[in-house]
Amino acid sequence: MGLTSDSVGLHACKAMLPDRRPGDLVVALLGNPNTGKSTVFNALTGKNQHTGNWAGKTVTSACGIAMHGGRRFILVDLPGTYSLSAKSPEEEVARDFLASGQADCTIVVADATCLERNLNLVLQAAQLCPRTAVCLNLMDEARRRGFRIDFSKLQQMLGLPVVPCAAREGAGLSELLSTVLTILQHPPQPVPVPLPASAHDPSLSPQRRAEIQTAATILRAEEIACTVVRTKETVATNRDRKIDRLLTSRAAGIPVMLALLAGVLFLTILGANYPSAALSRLFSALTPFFSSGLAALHAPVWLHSLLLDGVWEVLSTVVSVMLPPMAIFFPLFTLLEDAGYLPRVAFNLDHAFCRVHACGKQALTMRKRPDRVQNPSHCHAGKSPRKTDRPFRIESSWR
Amino acid sequence: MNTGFPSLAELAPGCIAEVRQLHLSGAIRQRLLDLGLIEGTRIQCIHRSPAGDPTAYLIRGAVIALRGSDSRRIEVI
Repeated sequence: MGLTSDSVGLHACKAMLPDRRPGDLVVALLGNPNTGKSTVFNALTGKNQHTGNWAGKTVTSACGIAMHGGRRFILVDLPGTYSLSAKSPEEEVARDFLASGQADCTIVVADATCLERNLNLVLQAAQLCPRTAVCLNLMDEARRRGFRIDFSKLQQMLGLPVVPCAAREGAGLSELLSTVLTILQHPPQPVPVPLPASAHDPSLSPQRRAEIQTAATILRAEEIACTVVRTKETVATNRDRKIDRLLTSRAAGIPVMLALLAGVLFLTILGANYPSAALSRLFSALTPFFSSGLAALHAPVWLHSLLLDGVWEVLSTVVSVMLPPMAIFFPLFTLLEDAGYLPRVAFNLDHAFCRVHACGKQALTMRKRPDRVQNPSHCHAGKSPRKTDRPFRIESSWR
Repeated sequence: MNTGFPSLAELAPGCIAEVRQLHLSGAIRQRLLDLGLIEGTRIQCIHRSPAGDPTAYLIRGAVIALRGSDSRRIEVI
């Protein structure tokens, strides 16, 4: 068991695409984690998607179909990554897929509230796949926090088309697909990242060369972001910082966390009692009907017993006991997650989790999304040292 | 803890420093470089977690949490 180099190959990428017909366009969706890439993907593909795993890896994949302008698009949702430097399974999958040339076009979903960090991936993707469009997502959030972005200057400095979107509201998505059609006709010319003279020194080790490349990309991203983004400290940003200080402070951090989680549990258990009782009554009321129905069909005793005392009894018990708590707990937990609270939980608990050879992010494993997949090898206590080799980022905003 | 050089771990909340060198190797080094922690980057300590570790830092507009075991090996000035 373990990853081998031939468990990952072009055939793995090919196996993943659904039935591709002539005239279809394959579009790779790339982006940092938490930029709303999944929202864009879901909004474009609706129910026409299927998820699975990239062969040989523990990274989830998703493929979907979108129709626009009479053309059929196959969207491939690549894992969320910060770069394509191929040091983690997600980065390898993304890089391999882009390098394989299977995608006719790439869309990089960038967070408008954190442009400098996102531009790193945009610049790397443009080098690998010149037919790239930038989807500047979370524009509603950017406006709320007082960001102003000069789109035409950004397009000019990148050499790529930029489409502002607010995927949560569905804004900008059809423009995005139209832009994809345009760049297939007229491929853009991405402005290359200027490299320092030292990068061309033939005596450099590949690792050193890669680091110089990374540094040059970061500096270019900084230059573009400084030119293009105008921001002011708004009331919203200050309020976010104050909330963070409260939620992760020495005095209040843990008590608030325990109180919130206890509150969720209390609401679940208390709230579930009423619908559970009601469902139980409903199922009991229906039982005589089934019983008389089976009797009317002259069903033998063993069948009557199997269906009524067996199947129906178990089904009604499980549904009335399990369904209400789940129907209450998961929406409550989703509220916490969508509010951005869970990374603060990871931040508070990381120290304790590290003491047992785990990682603070594993407090979040209750709800997994493709962009936040945990490599299971990280969960084995005391095994590889890689489990703590990643810093994790806190969402810098509350939604 | 005396690491022989001024490290990020010693930066107090609210203070700003400039990255000089990363005394790290492997995947964590590449990950930090990709997050923007190159030489000359200004980094601000935001606050520490209730247990003292990890600590939140502002790096190029994003709040990133770093553990002491990593921040102790980042040389700053």
